[in-house]
Amino acid sequence: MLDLVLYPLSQPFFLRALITGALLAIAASFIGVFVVLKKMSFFGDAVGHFAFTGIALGFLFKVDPILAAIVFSVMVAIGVGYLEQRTTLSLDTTIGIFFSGAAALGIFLIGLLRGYRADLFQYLFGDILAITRQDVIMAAALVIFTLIIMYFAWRPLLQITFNRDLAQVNGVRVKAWEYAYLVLLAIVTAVSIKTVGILLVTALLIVPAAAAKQAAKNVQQLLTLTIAVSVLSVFFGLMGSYYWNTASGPAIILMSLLFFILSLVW
Amino acid sequence: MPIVSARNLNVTLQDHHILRDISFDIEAEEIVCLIGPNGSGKTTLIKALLGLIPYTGSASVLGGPPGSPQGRIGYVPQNLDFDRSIPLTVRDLLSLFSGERSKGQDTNYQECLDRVGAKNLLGRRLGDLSGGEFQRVMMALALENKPELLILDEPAAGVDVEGETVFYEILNELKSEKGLTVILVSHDLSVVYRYATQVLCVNHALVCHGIPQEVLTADTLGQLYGHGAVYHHPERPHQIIHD
Repeated sequence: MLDLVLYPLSQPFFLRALITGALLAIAASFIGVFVVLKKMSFFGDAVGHFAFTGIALGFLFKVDPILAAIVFSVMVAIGVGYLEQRTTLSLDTTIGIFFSGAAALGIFLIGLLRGYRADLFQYLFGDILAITRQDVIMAAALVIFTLIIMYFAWRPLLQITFNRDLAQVNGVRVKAWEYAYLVLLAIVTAVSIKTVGILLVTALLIVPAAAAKQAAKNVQQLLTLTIAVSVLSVFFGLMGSYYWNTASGPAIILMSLLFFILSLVW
Repeated sequence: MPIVSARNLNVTLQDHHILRDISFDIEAEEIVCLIGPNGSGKTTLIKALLGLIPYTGSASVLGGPPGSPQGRIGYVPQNLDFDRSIPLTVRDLLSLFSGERSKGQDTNYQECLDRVGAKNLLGRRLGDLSGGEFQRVMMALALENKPELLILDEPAAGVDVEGETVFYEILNELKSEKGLTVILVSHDLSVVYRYATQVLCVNHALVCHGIPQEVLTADTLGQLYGHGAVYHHPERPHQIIHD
């Protein structure tokens, strides 16, 4: 039994995938807790589509697709936040407009690319088993960046989540922190895309936090359980993916769904 | 020097002129009741004084512009919009908003809760509290950082009878507290007569301002609520408004 676990771990490509996946799971957990608490699942989903358009732009202009995805997602996420505050439109309507616009632009741009682009599928579904050393370093940098931002943002974001007005009266710079959160959400989503894919990145943000929320008695437990569910989902998902020879992204998300179902009967 | 001051304060939101040329001063240690009919701009005035919405004219709160004296104001908003499924305990909440003055420890939190008659709530989840218990916790939260100015926006609205009683008990105690100024939005004129040292009557513009027993005449109440309104006060049976 132990050999079943140890054997994949002896393979460098699997170890790289596991380390990268676990690192991304930790970064996504910090963001996902607030996606769930602030009821921003639709926004999380939309950011995945913004990143998709960014990747298409990257291919078109021959720049690094992940870098293009980060820049484009951050710009559009800020645009959504700005319009929501400056118009009478509700947040979900504003997101809906940008969401469909970004998806349409992405598909249009792909149409402009010459020939059949199989490499785009890597970004749609994720390919954690093709992770390079550079990807591991990038995931580690992302976790460090996320931890530094969240060290300062955790308390103000929780205050805003409880009540915006009370937070502002208490001295929290509400708009600045909300924009900082949107930027961080866009960056974590764009960087995670290569691993779990556009279609499943939202699930990594939402499902572990939703499962943890069922069982958590306080916010510290919520964060700890979200990280635990995410990392365990990556571990068991990758193991399943290795032995059943299936795509890694869906295996990870299915594993997190299993945790969610368990949390319902907790 | 007044604790709160407004001069020609105007608020326009989405082309609606909600407050017009409001001017008043509030001195230290007053308990000021802000009254007016529904939609008259009471909450808007509170939000302008807290720096939560834009305004024109001038206003100062605790010696600075609205929004600047952070941590020195305790605030209980009207109908607090709060997701009851968030896994926050009362301890989490008090810790989350504790400032330098109440640097967070259980003994401090317990003192805050004892003061509002909420002894055993520290470890409870907010979502599990009754309306009255939740209001006690909100009051403890507002008093937590030892504020100089306490702003309560219809604190008893939507609360059960027990919660309402608690508020007024706490208000009674606060009357004797040194260094604390209270602005209280209320619909209940008996509360005004019982607790307020000053009253501010607002119906988009300032209708009256002063000691309740002096300025709440049949005429001013008529201007506020319409001349068809009737109010019977047990201690002031003559206070009846009618056409």
